[in-house]
Amino acid sequence: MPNATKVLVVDDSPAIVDSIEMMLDFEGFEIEKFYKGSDMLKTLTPDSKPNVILMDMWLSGEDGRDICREIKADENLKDIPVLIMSASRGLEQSALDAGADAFIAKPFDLGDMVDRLKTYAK
Amino acid sequence: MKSFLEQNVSPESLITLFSQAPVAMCLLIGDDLIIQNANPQILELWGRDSSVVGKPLFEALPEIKSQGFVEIFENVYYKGEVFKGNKLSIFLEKFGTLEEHFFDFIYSPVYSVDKKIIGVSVVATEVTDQVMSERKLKESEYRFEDLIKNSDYSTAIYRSEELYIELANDLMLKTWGKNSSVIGKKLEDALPELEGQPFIGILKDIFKTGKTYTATEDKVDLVVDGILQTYYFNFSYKPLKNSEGEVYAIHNMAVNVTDLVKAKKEIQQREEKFRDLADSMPQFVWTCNHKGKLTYMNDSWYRYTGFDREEDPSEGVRRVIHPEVYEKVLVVWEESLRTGNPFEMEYQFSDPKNPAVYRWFLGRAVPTFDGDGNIKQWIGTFTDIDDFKQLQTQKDNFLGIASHELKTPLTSLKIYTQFIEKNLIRQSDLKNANVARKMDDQIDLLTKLIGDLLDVTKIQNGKIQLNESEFDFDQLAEEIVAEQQMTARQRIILHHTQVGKIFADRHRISQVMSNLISNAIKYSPDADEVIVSTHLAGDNVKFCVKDFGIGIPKDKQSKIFEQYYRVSSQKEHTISGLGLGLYISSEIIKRAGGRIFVSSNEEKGSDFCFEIPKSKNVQQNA
Repeated sequence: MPNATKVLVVDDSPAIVDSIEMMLDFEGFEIEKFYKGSDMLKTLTPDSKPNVILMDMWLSGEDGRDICREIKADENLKDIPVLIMSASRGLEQSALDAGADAFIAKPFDLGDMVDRLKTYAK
Repeated sequence: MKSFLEQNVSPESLITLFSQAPVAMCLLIGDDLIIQNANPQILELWGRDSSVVGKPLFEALPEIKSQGFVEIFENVYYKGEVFKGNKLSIFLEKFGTLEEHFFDFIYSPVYSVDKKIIGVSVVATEVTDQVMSERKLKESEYRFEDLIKNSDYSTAIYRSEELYIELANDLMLKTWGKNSSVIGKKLEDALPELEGQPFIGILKDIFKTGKTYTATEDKVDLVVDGILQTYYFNFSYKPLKNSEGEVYAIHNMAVNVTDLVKAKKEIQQREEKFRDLADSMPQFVWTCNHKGKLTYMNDSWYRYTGFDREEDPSEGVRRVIHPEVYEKVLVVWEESLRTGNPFEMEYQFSDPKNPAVYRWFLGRAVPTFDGDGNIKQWIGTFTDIDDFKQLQTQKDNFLGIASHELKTPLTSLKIYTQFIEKNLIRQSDLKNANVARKMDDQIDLLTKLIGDLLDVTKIQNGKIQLNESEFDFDQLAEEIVAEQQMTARQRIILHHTQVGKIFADRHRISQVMSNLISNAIKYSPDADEVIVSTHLAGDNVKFCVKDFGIGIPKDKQSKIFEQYYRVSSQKEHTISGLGLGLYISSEIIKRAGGRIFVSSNEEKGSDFCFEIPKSKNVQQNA
């Protein structure tokens, strides 16, 4: 599928990453997975941009909001939609304040997630 | 003698002697007692002039006729008996009024030369002044004795340095535990228990010094009812002096104040007991008057602060309390002082050993009232809750982390479940897809429970925040009803009033709506329907859920919004839940500037409602 939507999934929990990978694969997305935000950042260039970044907030020593801020501060990258996930619903506003395009509360509904990704990937 | 008078003295000379004698004299001649030779003294004594001379006595002094004198004169005149009157009382009419006079007098028969009685001679001295002064003295003595006997004070008189008990009133005898047989005895013999006590010595000294001795609440040991007992007296030893200024007796007055002293001692002991109790408590215990002025701080306070006990304690409190909250605490405290409502507040005190460090304390105070219902004083405590606070923070942090961590496996579990469901649907295995769907519902339930625990933690930390935005209230109500209907056996009926857009936290309001509806379903297992309604109420929107379930007893209705409270019923154990839902809901509604309330009848059902401001402006103005 050459035109498949490319999603970068960032979460420090392999179980989450694996399940999301499986789910998105099933839905026909192209996935690249990362356990650290900084690793993901390194791969971002103006020439190779994903359609959406789906990133957890707490990343074992890294804060997804900081990573998001870096992306949004970069003129070349800021148009990439960043969706921040967290099990702490109260952090929604802080995620949006960090420039995230949307906040997704864990655990999430599969259908909703796919709809969101499709919306932002356009 | 007679022959001498007859022979040598002229009758004129006798008459002169008679008239000039300093005593009152007269001769009464014949059985008519004709006044003869009355000298001026007797005329003055009678209060008559010389016109009475030559008149019969009872004509001149008719007032004495009824005073027994007829018989006296008859005895003298007819029987020749001499009559001596001593301080005899006679009423005489002088200057128009009848007055009592006293006389010493002698009535003697007057003989003729041939030894026949021809009259009566009267020699009299007026002793009225003497009798009167004697009588006055007697009266004053009686009065004094009377005074002592009837005194409300125990009174006694001790005569001479030997301290003979001359007088002791009944009260004094009772005080001593003795009877009147002690009167006349020496004090030291009457009360041998006084030996070794200072009183005999003090009394004897007064005969030398002449100075009054007084004592207040002095301890005296007395044998009463055969037992040596301790009493307390206020008493005085007052010297009585004669005209030479010498002390001849001592007047002792005493008041038994044993009960008073004992009561005082008891109060003192009781106060010491409570003070010891307060001082031994690890909390800081204090009292203040109705105006809020501190009157006592226990030892723990001074040990902790190291403050001077002479310093105003209020100033000490002001110094240790965190400066940022001092004014706030003052506002709450003054409100309590004004209303009489108990005071309770948590705040920080600086650690005097390390003033940069603050420790959490719980301040509490309750008023005590007098018989008229006025505030007598406040009793308060400051309790160090810093360790507790730290533990609470640890617990809250733990719960926060735990619930976050629990959600991580739940997230992947939910994804896998949904994945399986989708796969099964794709394979047309609808029966198993339905099982996967139910698994997913249970994961949602578990997620909600974990969410509740996290919410409670946030509420207690004051960290629950509302993410407010504009949303369609009617649409939300429809969504929640539809969502709840999916798992409810009862029919959920929505009575709609167009409310429109409101400004609030959509997620939190949906949480409250879900909670009220799921409670209604849970607590009406035998009912067929639950009625949900929305209304506009002025500037507020109102959301109500009515069920026909077990209801809530009147006395429990105020408690149901408390944390962990669950309505008790016989079937309580069959109804699931942590008892957090209504607590969380009420906290959310409070935070949103609204109110949550219930009306309920046991066995008939409940009607839960909440009201919140429709727009933010209204909320702020409210």
